[in-house]
Formats: sequence, C-alpha cells, structure tokens
Amino acid sequence: MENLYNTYKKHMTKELEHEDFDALQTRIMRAARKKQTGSAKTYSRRRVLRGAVAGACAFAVACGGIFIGSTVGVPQASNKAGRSASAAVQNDNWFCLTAYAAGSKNVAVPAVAAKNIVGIKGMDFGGGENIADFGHQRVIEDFNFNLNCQGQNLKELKYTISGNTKFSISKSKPDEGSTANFNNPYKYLPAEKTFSSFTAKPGEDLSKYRIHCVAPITAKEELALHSEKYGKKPDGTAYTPEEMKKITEQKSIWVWDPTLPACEEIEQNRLNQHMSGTIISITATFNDGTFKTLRYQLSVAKDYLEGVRQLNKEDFELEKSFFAAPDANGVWRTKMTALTEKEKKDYNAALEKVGEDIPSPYCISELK
Amino acid sequence: MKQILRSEDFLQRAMDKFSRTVYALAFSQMHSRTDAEDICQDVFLRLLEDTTVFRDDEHLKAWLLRVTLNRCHDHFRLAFNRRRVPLEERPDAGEQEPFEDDLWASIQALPPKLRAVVHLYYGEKYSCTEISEILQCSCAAVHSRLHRARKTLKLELTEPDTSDEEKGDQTDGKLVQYL
Repeated sequence: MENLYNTYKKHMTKELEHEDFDALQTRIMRAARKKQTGSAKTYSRRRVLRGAVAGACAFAVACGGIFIGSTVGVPQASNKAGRSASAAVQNDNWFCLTAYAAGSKNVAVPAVAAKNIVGIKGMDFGGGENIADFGHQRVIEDFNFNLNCQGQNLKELKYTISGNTKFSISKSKPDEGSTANFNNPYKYLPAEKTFSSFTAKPGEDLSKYRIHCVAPITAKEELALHSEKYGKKPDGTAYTPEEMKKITEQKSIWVWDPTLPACEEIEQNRLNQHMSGTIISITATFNDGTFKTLRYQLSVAKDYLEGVRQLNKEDFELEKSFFAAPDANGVWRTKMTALTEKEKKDYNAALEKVGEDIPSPYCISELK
Repeated sequence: MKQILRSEDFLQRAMDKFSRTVYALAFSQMHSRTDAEDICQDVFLRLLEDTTVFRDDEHLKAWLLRVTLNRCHDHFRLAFNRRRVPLEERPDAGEQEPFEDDLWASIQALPPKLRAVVHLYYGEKYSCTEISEILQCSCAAVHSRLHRARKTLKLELTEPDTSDEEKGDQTDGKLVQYL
C-alpha cells in the first residue's frame, strides 16, 4: 500500500515538474484583474474556439431553419426561449456612501437618486484663504464633505481621490461653522501634507477629512481678488490713501452686496470648476475577505453660482445677526464681545438650517 | 450593483498554497495539461467570486478540490471533451519505469469517479471520511469506490492470457506489493 502512495507521489511530482506554475498563476491573476475591473468574461483560448464553432453551427442551423420555413410556408415560431432572470445574489455584504445612499439594500434611496445624481447638502464652500503663504496665482479651498459610509460586515474602507483635488486633514469640525476655518492652520496645507488615499475603519470619525482644492488663477484675477492687499485696484492702478482708508473703514461695516464682488466670483468659479469632476473611489473590504469598489463623481450643478450666492447671502445675514450690532449711528459693525455659550449653540443650530431650501450647488453621481 | 470579489492578496495566497494541489487533481482527471490549466484558472476565478467564509486552510483546500472535481465533471459532459489522446502519444510517456507506466496508465483508464477517489486517497492522502466530505457522498461509497478501483487495477495489471505462469506470478506479486 505504501508503495502505491510513493509511486503515485513520484509520478505526480514528475508531472508537476513540467508545469510552469508561475506562468499559470500570472495567467490566473491577469484573468482575475480583468474580472475585478469589470472587463468581459475571460475564457481559455480553447473555450473561445469552441464557442465560435458552436455559434457558427447554431447560426447555420438557424439559417437552415429559416430557409426551410420560408420554402415550405411554415410560419416562423416566435423565439420564446425566455431568458431566465439572473439569480439574486445571496450576500449580506453591502455598503454605500451615506451622502449618496443609492443602490444599497437597506437604505432608503432618495427620490433624486433615481436620476443617478444627488445634491450634496453636507458639502460646504467655506471661504477665506491666504494665498500669500503659498505663492501667487492660486486659490485654495478645503471642501467639507461627508465621507461616511454605511453597510454591513464592513472590515475596512479605503478612500481614493482622483482628479484635480486631494484629501487633507482639518482639525476643525464642519459644525464649528465657516468662521472657524479662517484661522485653521490645516486649511493651507502644503502639497506634501495632502494625500490621495487613506484607509479607515467602519464607524471612524471622518469629519476631519477635507477635499483640498488648489486652483490656478491668472495674475489679473489675483490682483482683482487681493487688490486691497496689494494696494492696487483690480485694474492695476494704485489706490489713493483716501481710498485705502475708506476700504479699511468699510471692512467693519456689514453691508451685503447683492451682486457678489467680482473677486469672490472669481475665487468660487475657479475652485468649483477645479473641484468639479473629482472622483472618490471607495473600496470596502468585508469580514469574509471579499471586497467591493464604488466610485462617486463630484460636480457642480449648472446653476451652482446662483446657489452659492444664495447660500452666501443667508450665511452673511446669519453672521450679521450674531456677530454684528448697530452702532450709535445705526451702522452695523462687528461686535467686540465674544459669543456666549447659548449664542454659540443658537448660532450652530441656525447654521445647520442655512441653505435648506436652496438646491445644492454641488452634485454627486455614482459611476458605473 | 457590482459583483463582490475577494481581494487579490487572498487569491494569491490561495494560489501559492493550493495551485499545485488543484492542478494535480485536474491533471489526474483530465490527462491533459491544457485542460488542467484551464480548470485551474476556472477554479481560482470561482474562488474570487465565491462568498464562502472559510474556517481554515483545510476548509479552503477541500472547497477547491470539490470545485475542481465539479469543473472536471462539467468538462467531461461537454461533447468537445470526449475525445481522448492515447497515453502512448504523450511525449514523456517513455520516461517512467515500465511497471509504473502500466500502473499509471491503468489508473488513468479508471472511470473518473474511481480516479478521483484514488487521487485523493493516494495522492492527497486523505482518509475515507475526509474524501466522503469532499465528494459529498457516504464513507461506505468511498470504501466501495476504492475497493473497485483496486480490483480494476489488479485485473488490468494481471495478464490473464499469459502462458508463462512465472511472469504472471511476478506481475501479480508486484501488484500485491503496490496495492
């Protein structure tokens, strides 16, 4: 009995010696990658040839049948060979981006998701940047975006960003309000502090992550954007001392300009257009070792500027009501006293409601 | 909804550990390197898509062997695969010892079900109980198949029409030694 064991082993060893397992593994891995990237099914060459021959035979038989049918006048039978509905996948593993929440099993799909595009409510256009720290001719913005996912049997989530943007980390939480971002040192991260992917565990707080956007602007746009800083008017001519004094004085006066200043439009246009097209790929690894990747594209709505203007106006009015007060002459000026705890709470509650009735200027769609 | 697939790392680990095992079983069933490679590829691609939660490596190995056998059976069912290349045509057929060659040829001539049991028992050194789990049949059926395989091999390797009794005894003696 032992000899047959040995003989069998000896024979199989000899047979396996002739096989190039590295090449075989490479071939399998290549086929696996094709499957993962959603390419067409991979078949062995022999199988393809067989399929082709079988197809040719079937075609010949079908042609023959039609020919005979038409010759003898037999009515053609309608092709009722029903396609069986593909079997439902019995798998409890699923996940999706909460902000999108479409295509998942257990999550209510927003009506708007039926159009495969969802307005992003949780995405803010903050404001305030300091290009002087990072060289000229660029504007920088960190977009707040809710990267949380929901799902079942999740082990790990890997986020990857592509397009013109990167990820960055902020110490300010989105609910601290846009004013908190003005002095946020993480807002002006140098390029090396940004990154294009990170991994998170399910349930981890992702509110620190931002979508970091650095958009180029022309020298003329830069001057328009920071004319006050350079002591020059947007057209390049210098301000007079009187004009500069008036500008400084006006800084503390709360007057909303219904037509957004040109510089803000430049900034927002450039940043939004630069951010638009960003793709966030999320690969979820499940507890059983399987994984799934979903890709979401961020973009701006067609009439986004209108939405941004309305949002800015509402935000301005809110800030005015909390951070400004009329002086003896009835001119609204910045309050010199800090907010009380109650005021802070009220402000944050009111901030959440800003733009509720305005269609989101930002959209997200799932890429198939 | 995209199909959920296992990770590349998982697949690579599985291949590193069990590609030889899968290939050996496929080869023992198919007698053809090309077919064995095709089956090997099919099996690991199925593993990529499969969502079974494996308890340990042994569970994974048993799953791979089960799927390999299923794929081999599928292969046999196709009309294209009913052709057989005589073993004599194999380029490396002459490299073996005469009796080993006969023995191997006899094993390859066994019906696929018996061959699978022989491979798992002698090649993979599984017990009858383990084989019954892999083949999803009773232990008695495995014993029975193993017995039938041995009996067939004995008949194949014994020359009944030889007039030289000494030669017959010698062959029978060798067979007894092997079985």
